[in-house]
Amino acid sequence: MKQKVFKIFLLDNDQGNSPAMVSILERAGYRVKWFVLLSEMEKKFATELPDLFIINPFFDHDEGVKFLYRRKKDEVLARIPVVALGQFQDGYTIAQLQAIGVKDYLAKPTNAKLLLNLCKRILNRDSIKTYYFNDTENVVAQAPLTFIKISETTIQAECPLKLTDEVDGHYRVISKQLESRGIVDEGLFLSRNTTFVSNDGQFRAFFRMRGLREETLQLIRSGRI
Amino acid sequence: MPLSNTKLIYHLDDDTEIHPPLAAICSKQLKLTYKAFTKIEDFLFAIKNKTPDLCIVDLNLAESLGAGFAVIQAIRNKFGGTMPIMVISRRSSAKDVSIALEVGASDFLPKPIDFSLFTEKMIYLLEGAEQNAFPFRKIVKPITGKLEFHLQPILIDEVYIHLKSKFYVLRSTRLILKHPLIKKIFDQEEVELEVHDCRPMEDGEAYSLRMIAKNPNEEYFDRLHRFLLTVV
Repeated sequence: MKQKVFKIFLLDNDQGNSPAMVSILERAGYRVKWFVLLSEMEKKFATELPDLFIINPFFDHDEGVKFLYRRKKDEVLARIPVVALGQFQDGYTIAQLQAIGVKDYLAKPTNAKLLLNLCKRILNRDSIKTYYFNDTENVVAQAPLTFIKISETTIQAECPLKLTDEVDGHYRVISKQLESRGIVDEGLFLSRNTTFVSNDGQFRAFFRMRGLREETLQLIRSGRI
Repeated sequence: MPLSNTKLIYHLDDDTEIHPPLAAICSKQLKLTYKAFTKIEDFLFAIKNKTPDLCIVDLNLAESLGAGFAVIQAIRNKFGGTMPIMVISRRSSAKDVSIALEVGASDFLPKPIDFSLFTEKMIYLLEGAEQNAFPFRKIVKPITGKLEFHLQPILIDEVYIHLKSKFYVLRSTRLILKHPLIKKIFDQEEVELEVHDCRPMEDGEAYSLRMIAKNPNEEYFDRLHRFLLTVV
């Protein structure tokens, strides 16, 4: 799964209509969690938040309405769209529900086509959220690096980054194994452009080694590195 | 700066107008042996007979448009990553450059050619071997390490974390990332994410990386969703 699956929380104790709705939505590719108790749904918020609520406002002594009032005051939940589900007869009720945050409404028994169109419309419009970083602090990243060949002047590594001299100094080599042999990051300088190695799918980086101690050179000459 | 004239350069390009100026630079200025080819078959036959020190390849060839990509791949499959391959092509869109690098090109130069840049790149690609007179030995037990570098955060959406990189990074590379907001989202000091894709940015000086979990599960998307609901 490399794409987001929209999640819908359905709150209604209607044992006839709800399973049908769950089935329709799941077949359309949504992940649906059905709750018959408001308390159960609210408990779930600790670990999961949906992209859409479908709620019957008037089930079980107006439990849905109670939630709608609570949701309105909650900064995070208020950002999740709500569809009301029920048998709405008059415009006044609908207007009241809209005043407490209901985006749209669906009449029971649910029409599958109408339900899917409504979900698609709301989720496309409201659920693609983006946060732009406004700080200047960089992300520190670490990629694997393997040193495979060595000469008295140069050490060759394979890594998944294409290093060029233009970015020399914008990276740091961290290797305890290399340090223990007397080769430190400060003494490594990229000596030529990397080339792609198709067999193992890695770029090759050639680092010129400066300031090597005699013991390290001896290790290299004797093939013990 | 003349390089050794024992160095052999093969150039594959069906555009014959480009051969004379490059031949002049290579043989007169850089003191290299230059041979031009217009057909893939002749070029690959010549490589098989005598391995050059560097190849120059065009992407659109007489045989077919984009045939150069397959030629680069064929060279890499035969010779591994040791021989520098420079692409010189009119196809210089970000996508083409990326594909060329991914199939094995070492460098890229767009047409019309900037001849002074061409000269510099030739010296650069060839001088590494020139300077390294000491023989390479295989490290018996490969030494592992980490390459630490900085990425500029751009944005987070419901699926990816978008970052700006000075480096081209191979697709599917797993990177360990550390940032205060990443900690806030995943509740961990550092998190390992995979490069979904790496595309050159419009300014041409950096790359845009889209990072995602290796096998993104429900929890991964929930964490991004919760974060976005909190901040957006």
